[in-house]
Amino acid sequence: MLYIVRRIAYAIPILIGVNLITFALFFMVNSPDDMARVHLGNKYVTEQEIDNWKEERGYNEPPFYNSQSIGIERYTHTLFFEKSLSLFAFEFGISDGGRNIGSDIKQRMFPSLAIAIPILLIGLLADITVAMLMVFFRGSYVDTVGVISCVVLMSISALFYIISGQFLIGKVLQLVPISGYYDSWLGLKFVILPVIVGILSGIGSGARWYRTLFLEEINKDYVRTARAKGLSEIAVLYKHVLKNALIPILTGIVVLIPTLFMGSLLLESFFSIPGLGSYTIDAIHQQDFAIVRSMVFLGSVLYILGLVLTDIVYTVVDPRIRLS
Amino acid sequence: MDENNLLEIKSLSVGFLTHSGFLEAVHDIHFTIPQGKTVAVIGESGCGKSLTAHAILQLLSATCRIVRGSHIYWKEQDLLTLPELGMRKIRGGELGIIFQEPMTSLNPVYTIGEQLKEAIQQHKPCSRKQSHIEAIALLNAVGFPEPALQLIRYPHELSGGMKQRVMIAMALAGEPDLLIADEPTTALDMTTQAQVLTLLQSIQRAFKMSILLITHDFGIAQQLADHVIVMYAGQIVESSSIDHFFEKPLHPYTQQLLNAVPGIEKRHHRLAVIPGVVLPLTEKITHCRFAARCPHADKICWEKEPQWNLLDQNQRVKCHLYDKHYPVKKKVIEVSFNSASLITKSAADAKSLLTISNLKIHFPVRQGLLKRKRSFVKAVDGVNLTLYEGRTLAIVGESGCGKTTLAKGILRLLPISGGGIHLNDQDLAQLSLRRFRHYRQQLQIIFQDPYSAFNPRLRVSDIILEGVRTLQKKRNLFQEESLLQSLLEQVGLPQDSADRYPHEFSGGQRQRIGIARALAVSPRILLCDEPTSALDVSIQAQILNLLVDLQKERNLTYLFISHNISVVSYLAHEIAVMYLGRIVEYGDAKTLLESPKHPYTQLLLSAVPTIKKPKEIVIPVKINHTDLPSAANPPQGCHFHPRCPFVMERCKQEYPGMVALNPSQKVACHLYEN
Amino acid sequence: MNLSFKFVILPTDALLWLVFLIIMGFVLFARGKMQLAAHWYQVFHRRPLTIIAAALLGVFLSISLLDSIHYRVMLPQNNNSDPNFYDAHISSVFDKIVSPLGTQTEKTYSSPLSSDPDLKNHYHILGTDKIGQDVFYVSLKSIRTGIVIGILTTLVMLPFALFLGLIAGYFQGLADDIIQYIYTTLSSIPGVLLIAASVLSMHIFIEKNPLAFPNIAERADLRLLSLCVILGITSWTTLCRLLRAEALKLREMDYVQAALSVGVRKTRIIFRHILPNVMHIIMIVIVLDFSSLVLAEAVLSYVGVGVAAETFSWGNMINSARLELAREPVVWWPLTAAFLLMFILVLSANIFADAVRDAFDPRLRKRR
Repeated sequence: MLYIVRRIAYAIPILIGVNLITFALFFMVNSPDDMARVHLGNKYVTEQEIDNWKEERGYNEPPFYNSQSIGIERYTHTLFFEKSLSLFAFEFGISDGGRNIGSDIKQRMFPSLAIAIPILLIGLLADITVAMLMVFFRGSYVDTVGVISCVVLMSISALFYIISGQFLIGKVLQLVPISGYYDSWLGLKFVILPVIVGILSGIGSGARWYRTLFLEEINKDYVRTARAKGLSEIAVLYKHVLKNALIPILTGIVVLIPTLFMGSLLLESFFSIPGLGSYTIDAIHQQDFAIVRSMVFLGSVLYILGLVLTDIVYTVVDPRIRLS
Repeated sequence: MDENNLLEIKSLSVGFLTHSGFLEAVHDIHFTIPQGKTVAVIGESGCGKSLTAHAILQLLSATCRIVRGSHIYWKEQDLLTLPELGMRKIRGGELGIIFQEPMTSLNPVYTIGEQLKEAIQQHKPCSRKQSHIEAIALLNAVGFPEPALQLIRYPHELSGGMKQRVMIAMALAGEPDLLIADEPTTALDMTTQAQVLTLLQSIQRAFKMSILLITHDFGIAQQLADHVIVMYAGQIVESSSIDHFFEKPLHPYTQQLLNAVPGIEKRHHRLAVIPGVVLPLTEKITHCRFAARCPHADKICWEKEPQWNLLDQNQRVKCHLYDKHYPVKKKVIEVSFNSASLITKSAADAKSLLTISNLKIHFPVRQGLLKRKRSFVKAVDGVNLTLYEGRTLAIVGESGCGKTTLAKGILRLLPISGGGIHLNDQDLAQLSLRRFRHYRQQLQIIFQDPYSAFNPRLRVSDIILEGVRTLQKKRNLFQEESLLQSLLEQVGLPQDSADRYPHEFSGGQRQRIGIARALAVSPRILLCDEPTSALDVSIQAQILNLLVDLQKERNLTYLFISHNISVVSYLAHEIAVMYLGRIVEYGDAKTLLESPKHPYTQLLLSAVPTIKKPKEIVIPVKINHTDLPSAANPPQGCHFHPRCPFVMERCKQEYPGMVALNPSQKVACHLYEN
Repeated sequence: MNLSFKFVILPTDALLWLVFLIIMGFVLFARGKMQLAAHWYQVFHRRPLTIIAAALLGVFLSISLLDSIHYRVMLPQNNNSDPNFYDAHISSVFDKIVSPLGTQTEKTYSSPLSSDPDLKNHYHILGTDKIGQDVFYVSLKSIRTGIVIGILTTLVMLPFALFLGLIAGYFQGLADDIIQYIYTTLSSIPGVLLIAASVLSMHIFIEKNPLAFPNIAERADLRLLSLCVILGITSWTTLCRLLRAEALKLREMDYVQAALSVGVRKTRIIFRHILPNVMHIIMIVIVLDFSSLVLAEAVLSYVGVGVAAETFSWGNMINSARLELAREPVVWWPLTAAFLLMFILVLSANIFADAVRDAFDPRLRKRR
């Protein structure tokens, strides 16, 4: 218990660091004036227009210290407090385009999960199965062909999988719609293609990595002991090797679980899924810094949550590590 | 086939596929294992003994191949013709095996109960409850205290000895007729080793099974075996019943190897050395494999492979010396009795050189939210020792007793928590690390592991001269070169070694490089941290001889750290016995070895299986508690009291002080306090 | 001397050539060191696939090196007082070698190997794109961008990772705590977002100071370089973590203890005993990272934070061509060309990386 508390306590300075970095990136390198100019068109902008733009979005305050306010407000009526520290309370504020970021996030995270969770689970299953097959037939041509295919698959750009998938299955074969989303079970047909593409683009590196993990375990002494008991090769693989190799696999995946909310930038954007991934990418295209800033912070929080979860999962799945 | 023979191996050859061709690591061996007997296969590393054991169970790695024409008859059935399915029934059933490394041989993510039950259910289908009862019975049989509670423990929660007991229990689960024990105690401590060996003896009787014992230790073979087989370079060179074997070893290799084992009775001699190296096995060999290293080798040995010579019912040897058809004369081997014996001066005239007083090395354990120092691991806790010039002080103890920490502390490679290290009149412990640099040259160290002791990216010349270059202000290339050449000569390395890299050398040669590196800065004191424990017996003899010679030539003082009693008894002038960070007994080597006073010393000495002992040894000291406690949490009072057979109420309360029994022996035990 | 052209040295040109010279120097050095040479022999020994991959990488590297010698041609109506004495267009040695390719333009799309009478009598093996540029030429020019990103990013990332990783691992204590904090913080920010935020900030910076970068090519090059810098700063953490762990292990090795016991100083121990023994990790990570960086370029271009639109790059090609799949008839060739070349480069790099890993350290687990 103390251990978990310490892990969470350790996360706080990291989040402060993230907060400072994003603040420096968004407010120090380029001042709000510059942002205003970008949004209003670079040239022929009057000072008045810039001031109005800043006023509307609350960017018209000094960064750290407000000499015009009184008391505590000298520190609270500042950009750092209102735009950066407020993130700790998950108050994301209003986007530069005038939308409420907090409610956007709440609404958009479910479509993201609808894509990300199947990709993670089915992908994990597919990766392990393929890797297990290669390990079972290790040394034979099945293994060799498998490894080469993995290298080839991982050398292909993710964009290729998406574009060719859309073209082949969506346009030529017309099996599923090319893109879109529908928020109920009827929307399943929209989800199938991005999920397949997501799994396929990850299977090369995933299966190859798991194969290495399995092979590393298979040379250990306890595997020899298991064989010496008279267990069959399949029992050795599934009962002994898999359970040990699952420790690094699971802990590697747990980090990712919270960040699933963030969605996949590419998939969501190409398949027009109204999740957080496409939200982010639209914000980048429109140079909406308020949204990008919020997403950076949210992503970091989720990642750190993942790290804490990883530590907890470690102590659960690996008997050698106990909370102490 | 003899009715009594359980296993018969006929012309078995096993090899590896390597880049440079097929390496036949086991060549055409024959032997049998009779019902209820123990057969020991002895040999140095790489002789093919473990490969033989694994070949019987067909637990070979992917690059291994059994050569056609080999036969392994198990109860008249050739295992090599058996399909994998049939083999699986025998493996772990009628044929059980235990391995060298109990630490890694158990699956870390399953409890020992789960692993035991798996072994039970594999060979006799039974209910979960039945297998549970069976598992408890098995743990009971291998001497587990409170077996029912131990089933839910994970392997990492057990000590090495306990893990090996679990391994044995798992092997027993299939009720085997033959147990293959592949170096079962090599990775264990001495006292644990003794327990496991006794256990093997008792279960053999209880289960009426045969044992195939793979070992490199003659003492273990002597204790357990009925019959001994000696392997060399993939062949069996001698096969003999246990009594004949130690009375009259036949093969020159066996003779030399037995002479190379150090011991107290050899203190005044040089150890026998087998020159040269094992020949490469990738080519076809038509002569005697030992010819190049044999002192008796004759022309015929290089022309023809020797046949088996049957000397009597129980003794066979593969050597031309015993072949009546060939005129090979046995040469008299001169055992060079060293004119000057090891013991040059008595302790009384020796000058003390380094005095360690109340030395403490404590490691903080950080705990809690802010990781504050809560407690300490007292790895070295108040050690007093004196090193006399030109003499060897040996520190003996089991792993985890703090002996290596002590050496590193003396070198200031670890921070010292208290106490003094006086070299002449200077207290080294008080010096800042900066000022201590000036004294480093006087103290040097030789490491245990010859493989991690050298930077693989540096050449031997750079390795040896690093210290000299650091100490000198200006480099003198000529001096360096002559120093290098003289060092290489002294430690017996070829002159062309200088420009080669460490990985090109064998373990023994690397240890010589390590010695040369230490000697390069002309130290007065050499700390030897188990310098021979990673080496084979024949190589160990070479290194020990070298250390003895160097001591005489350079008047070196050794602090020799070891767990190997026979090495220590050969080399040491004084011995200190260490237990959980403290010295429990100290004395003149001869006195201490002949009349050990501390119960722990007695336990240690009785635990060593030596060739000279009578067959049925009984450990005189019965241990009450099997596990060595951890230094992080040593028992209250005398650290040894939970294991001590003579424990008194007082031992549980206070730690005993050091009592001088006579001028040459001191002991810390309440038994001797008056 | 009256040259008819003037060399233009773009920052990435200089750095790319610098890296090349360093690699050549290293090769000469390794030839002398038996041990290193033996490792490299292992990389290629009995591995025809690796040799092919290495050869392909060599071809790609040569193209990008030739494409990194830029010059401006003297204009014919030369007049010494004219500031535009040289052509504003910057060409490279590579352009000269494949010379008609770059200038043979059409009006608009043409399919590969088309002999349509509307074309100006030029063959285009891979056809032309929307503005009539030869697709084969464009995809060849994109090689340089891929290689620059793959190599220069490493150049930026390496000093951080090496310096901080070894210090953290060897000295431990406070330095270790601080360095660990820095890299945990940096790696907790989602990579793409950190890159996007930095690149956007940089765009604004460049737009705010248009006068500092008068030339389009120079501005594009600056964007390429800054992309490398940003990628480098955001990606050093993985290698740093690996090096820290390794240094932590190595400092306890007996040979380091032996060096300490003869009084070798700590800085010297790092350079002599630690650094040479982590080289294989650096080697392996660099080669592994290269391919993922090449792939990342395309993704970043799609996100809108990649190289400048004027720069030839596969990412830009894909980005502008992906909508063309919807046309009738389908314009598939620019997309295919970009994917194909990128695939060849990444596949060769991956195969090469595998061989390097096997030769230098078969135990080092593949990172994701």
